[in-house]
Amino acid sequence: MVQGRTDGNGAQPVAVLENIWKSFGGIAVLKGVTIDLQPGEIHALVGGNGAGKSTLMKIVTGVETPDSGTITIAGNEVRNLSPRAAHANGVYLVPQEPELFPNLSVHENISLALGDLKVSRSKIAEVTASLCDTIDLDSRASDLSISDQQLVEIIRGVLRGAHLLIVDEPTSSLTAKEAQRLFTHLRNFAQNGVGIFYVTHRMAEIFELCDRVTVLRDGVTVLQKNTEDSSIAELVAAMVPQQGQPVAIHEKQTRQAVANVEPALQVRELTGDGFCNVSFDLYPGEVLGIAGVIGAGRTELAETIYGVRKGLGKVTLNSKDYSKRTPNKSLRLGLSYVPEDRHEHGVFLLGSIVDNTTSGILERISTLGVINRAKDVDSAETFARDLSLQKGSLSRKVGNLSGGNQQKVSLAKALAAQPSVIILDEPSRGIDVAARADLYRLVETLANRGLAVLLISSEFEEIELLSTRVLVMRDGLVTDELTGEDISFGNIRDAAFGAHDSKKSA
Amino acid sequence: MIKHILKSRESITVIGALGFIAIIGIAQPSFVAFSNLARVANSTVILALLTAGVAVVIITRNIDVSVGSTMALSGIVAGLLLKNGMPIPLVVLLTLVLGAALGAINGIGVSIGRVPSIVMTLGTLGAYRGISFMITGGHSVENIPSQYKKAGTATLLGIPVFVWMTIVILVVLGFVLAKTSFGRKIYATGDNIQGAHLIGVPTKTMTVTAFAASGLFASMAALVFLAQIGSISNQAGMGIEMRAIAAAVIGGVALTGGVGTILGASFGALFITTATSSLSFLGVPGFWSDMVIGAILLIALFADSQVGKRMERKRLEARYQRAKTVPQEISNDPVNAGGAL
Amino acid sequence: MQNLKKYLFRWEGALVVVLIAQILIFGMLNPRFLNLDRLISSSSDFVYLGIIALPLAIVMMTGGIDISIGSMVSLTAIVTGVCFSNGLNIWLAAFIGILAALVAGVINAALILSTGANPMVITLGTQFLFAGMAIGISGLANVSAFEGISGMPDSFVQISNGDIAGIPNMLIIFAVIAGVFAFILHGTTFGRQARLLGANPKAATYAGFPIRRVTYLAYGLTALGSGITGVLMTSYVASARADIGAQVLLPVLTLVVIGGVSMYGGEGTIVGVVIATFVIGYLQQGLRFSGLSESEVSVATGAALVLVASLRWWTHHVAERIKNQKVKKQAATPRPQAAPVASS
Repeated sequence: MVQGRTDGNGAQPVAVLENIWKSFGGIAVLKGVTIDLQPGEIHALVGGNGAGKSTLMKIVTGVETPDSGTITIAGNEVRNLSPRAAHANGVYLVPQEPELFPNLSVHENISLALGDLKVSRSKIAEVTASLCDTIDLDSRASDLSISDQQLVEIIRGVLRGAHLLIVDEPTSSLTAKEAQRLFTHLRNFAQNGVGIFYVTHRMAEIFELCDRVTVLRDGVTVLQKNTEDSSIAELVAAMVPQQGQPVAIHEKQTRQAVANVEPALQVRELTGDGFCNVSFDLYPGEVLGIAGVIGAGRTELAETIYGVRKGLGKVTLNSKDYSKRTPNKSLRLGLSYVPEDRHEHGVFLLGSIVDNTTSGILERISTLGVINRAKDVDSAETFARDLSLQKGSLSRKVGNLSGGNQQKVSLAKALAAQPSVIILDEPSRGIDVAARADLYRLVETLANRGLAVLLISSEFEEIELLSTRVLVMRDGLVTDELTGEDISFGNIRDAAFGAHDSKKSA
Repeated sequence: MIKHILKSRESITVIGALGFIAIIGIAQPSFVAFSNLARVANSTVILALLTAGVAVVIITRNIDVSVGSTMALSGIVAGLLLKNGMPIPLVVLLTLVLGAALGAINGIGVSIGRVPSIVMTLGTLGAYRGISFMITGGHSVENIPSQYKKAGTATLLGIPVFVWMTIVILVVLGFVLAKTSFGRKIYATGDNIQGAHLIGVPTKTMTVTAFAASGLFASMAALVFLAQIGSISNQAGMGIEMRAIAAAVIGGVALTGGVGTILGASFGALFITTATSSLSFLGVPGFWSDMVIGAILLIALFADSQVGKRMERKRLEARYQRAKTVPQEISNDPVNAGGAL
Repeated sequence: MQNLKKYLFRWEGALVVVLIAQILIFGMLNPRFLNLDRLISSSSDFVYLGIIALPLAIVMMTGGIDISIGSMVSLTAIVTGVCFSNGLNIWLAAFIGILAALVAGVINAALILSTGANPMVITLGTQFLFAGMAIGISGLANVSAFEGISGMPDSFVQISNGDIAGIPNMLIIFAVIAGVFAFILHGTTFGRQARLLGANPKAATYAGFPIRRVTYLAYGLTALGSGITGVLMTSYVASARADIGAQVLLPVLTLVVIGGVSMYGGEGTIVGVVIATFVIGYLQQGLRFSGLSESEVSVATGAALVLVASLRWWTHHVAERIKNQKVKKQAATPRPQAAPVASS
C-alpha cells in the first residue's frame, strides 16, 4: 500500500514549508511559519484555538493558497497547489470535521476518495473492520454517528497510502479502543516511511505517539523540539506563556457569592443531545466556570438552556419556571448567550456594528415596528465605549473587524438585552492578548454588577482566573465540582482529562 | 434499510405514475388502449430528455432554466441545416455539439465566472431565445425534409422509434450516473462540494460537464421536436424548462444536491405528461393542466418534507439513546487519561 | 471627499455613473433619445417591473426567492377582470384581485415554512398552481385568451396611462412605493430582521428573530407588489389577460440582481433596485433607439445580467486578496522563530 520504504536518516524531507503567510478578511492567521516533516516521523502540531494549525494544514493540502511562502514536497517546490495536485503528490488530510457525502454510502464515500487507486471491496472491508466493528459499508454516511464518520475519514486516509498524512484532532470523537487502533495504524505508517502531521490538543497523545512537536501561537512558531527533550509543562508554557499574557495582566479577585440569595439560574437534571443529567445553581454576582475538553457537551448544554436546542429537564430563571425555552424568550427574560462559534452563530458579518448590537433587542427599541434611530445608535455607541471597541464609524461591517473586535460586538449584542444571566461560550477563542485582557476585566465588572455569569472555556487558565466555582464536564456529564482553594490549573486539567479517575483506578 | 427507503422514493414516483394511468384507465378504458399509451409515451419523449439533463445539473446542486431556449436554438440551427440539404447524420452530430456547447457556456459561467446558476441560466434563457429570433427573424423554420420527418412517425413493435431511443439513452445515462466513478463524482460534487474538492474531485469540471450534458439533452429534444412537429419556431419550448424542473423534483431529485436518479426523473416526466394528457379523457378542460402540475409538485414536496422530518426525529432519538449509554464508556478511557498527565 | 469616494465605490454609486453614462452615450448616438419629456414619459414602459422588484429584493435579502411573481400578476389581472365583467365596480374588482395575490403570497410563505423546502421549488410549484388557476378562471369565465377582458372605464385605464403635471402616474406610483419600501427595509424591525436573517440565518435564530413573521411579511409584500403590478398592467393595456404576467420573472430578477442584491441573502438596498430599474429600462430603450431589434436587446440584457453577477464576485475576490497582501506588508516584523530542530 505504501510505496517504497524510505530510510529516515539523511533522506530528503517529506515536506518543507517556508515562511508561510496567510490572511483571511484582512486578518493575518499565519505570520511566516516554517515547518518541515521527515520520512517516518510523526510530527505533533499543537497550539491554542486560532493559532493557525488547521490553516497551515489546509495549505499543505492545497485547500487554501498561502499569500506568500514556499512549499516543497518530496524535494520539489510546488506552486498553485490544489487538493488534486496535493493528492497526486501523496498528501492526504483527515480533516477535523468529517467532510463526507451524506447521501452516498460508506463504501462510495471511501472509494471516491481513493481516486484512481483500485481497491477491492474486501480490502476496504478488511481495513474498516481493523478500526471499527460496527460500520456497515452500505449504510448512508448521514446515518453514521460523528465518531463513525470520523473513522470513515481515517479509513480513507489509511487506504489512500499517502506519503504525507495529516490527521487533524482525530481522537476528539473516538472511543479509547478506536483511538488505540488508530495509533497502531499510524505507527505502522511511520515505520514504512510515511511522514505524519498530527494536530491535537491532547498533551498525552503527543508523548505517547509523536517524535517531534511544533507549537504555534497566533500564527507564529514558538517552539519546535523532539518530544523526548520536551515536557508537558514546556509545551503548555509555550502555548500559553505566563509572562506578558492575560494571567499577568489580570489579577484574580476574590469574590464571595452572597448568601441567602435566590439563584438566578437553576438547572435540574437537564438531558439533551450530547449531555446527560446536568444540575447546578448559578447565583447573582458569581462566575461559574464550566471546564472540559472539546466534545464534553458544554456548548450543547448552554444552547439547550438558551433555547436553541431541545432538552428534557427543569430550568428555573430568576425563580420562575422556564420550560418552553426559545432564544427570543430568553433575551426578554434576561438570559443572554455569547455563542462559541462567532462567525456561524454570534454575529452578522454582513451587518454593521449598529445592526449587530441591537439585533437581539429590536422590539425594545422600536415603536409599532419602526426602529427608533436615536436609541438604535445610542445603544451601539454605549457598548462600543464600554467595551472599548476599536474607534471608527459604527456603520462599518462587522466582517471587516478583527477577531477581538468581532467578539466585542458579539458581547455587546448579548449585553444590550440587559441580562441578569449571561452565558459566555469560549469567549477568548481566536482573540489577541489585549482583547483578552479587556474581556477578563469585563467579566469581573459584570459579576461585580450582580450579573450571574456562566463561563464555558477549554482554556483552563481562564477558568482558574475568573471563576468563583468550577464545574468540570466530561463526555456529557458533570464529573467534578471545584470550589475555593481547589480551583487550580492542575486540578481543572486533571478533572477535564479524567486523569485523577484513572490514577484512582490504576 | 436506508437504501430501500431511498429506492422507494423513486418507486413512489413510478407507482404514482403507473397508478395514475391505471385509475384513468378504469374511468376511461380508451385511455389505456395501446395506441393511446404509445401516443402518451411519444409525447413524453421531449420532456423526459429535458428532465434527464436538468436532473444531472440539479444533482450537482445547480439549476438550469435555459433548456427550453437551448432546445429552440439548437432546433432552429438543425432545421436550417437540414433545409440546406446537409446530410442528416452530420446535422445530428453538429446539433448535439452545439447543444453541449451552449450548456457548457452555462457551466463555465457558473464554475469560473462564479455566477449563481439561476442567474446564469436566466441570462442565457433570454440570450439564447434572442439569438433564435435573430436567426429566424421571427419566422418559424418549416419544410423540413420529409426524409427526416419520417423518423418521427417510424415505429418498432408498434411503439415509436423515438420512444425506444429515448429509453436506451436514459438507461445509458442512468447507468453512467449510478455505476461509474464519473457518476459518483457528479453526485459527490452536489452532495458536499467542499468535501469533494478536498479529496481531489475536479468539481469545476464536473459542474461544466453537468451543464454540457443538460445542453446535449436539450439538443436531443430539439431533434425529436423537429421530426415530430416538422417545423420549429423561436417560441418552441417556451416555459418547458419549469416543467422539466418540476418533473425532476417530482421524481425525487432534490434541489439540495446529491440526491435523485434518472429513473425517478423520467417517471416524473411521464407523470406530468400523463396527468396533463389525461385531463380531456376525464372531461376536464385542458386549461387546468398547469394547476395539476403545480398540485402534483407541491404534494410531492410536502410528502418529502414529512418523510424527512420523521427520519430526522428517528436519528435524534437514536442519538439520545447513545447519550444515555455514555457513562459506561467513561471509566475505561486510557487515551484521555494518559500517564503523562 | 472621503464620503464621495465611499459612495462612488458602493454599488449604488457605480449604478448612477452607468445610468448617466449610458443616457449620454445613447443621446450621442441618437439625439432624439435625449429628450427629457420623452425620457420621463417613457418610464411607464418599465417602472411597473420595479414595483415587484422592490419587495422581491427583500425576499432575496432573506435568502429566499419567489418564482411565482408572474403567476400572481396574472392571477390578480384575471380575478380583477372576471369580477369586473360580472358587474362589480372596477375599483372593488381591483381590490379583490390584489387580495387574491395576497392570499397566494401567504400560501407561498406557509408552504415554505411548513415543508422547510427550498423556496425556489416551492414557488416553482405555486407558479404552476397560480398560473393554472388564472388560466382556469379565465377558461371558466369563457374569456378569449388573446383578447382578455376589456371595456374598463376610462378612469381605471388612466391610472397607468395618465399623468399629473407631465409626470406619468405610473412613475409617481413607483416613487411612492419605492419610498415606502425604502422605509420598510431600512427603518423598521421587519426590514432589519429580513436583511440580517439572510446574512446569517443561524445567528438570526440565536438573536431570537421571529423568523415565521419575517417570512410571511416578506412573501406577503412580494405578493402585494405583484398584485399592484397586475392591476397597473391591466390598466396599462386596458385588458385583463390570464397570461399577462407570464414574461415578468426574468426582467424582474434582472433588476434585483443588477440592483446589487445578493442571491445568497443579506446584502442590498432599495436605492440600488430603484436605480437598476432605470438603468435596465433606459438601456433597453437606448438599444432600441440605436436600431437594435427586440431580440438583440434581450441578448444584450441577458449578457449584462451574467457579466454583472460575475463581476460582483470577482471584484470582491480580488479586493480581498489585495487586502490580505497588505496585511502581510503592514504586519510588524515577524517575531524571531525558534530554530527548527532536525529530527534524528
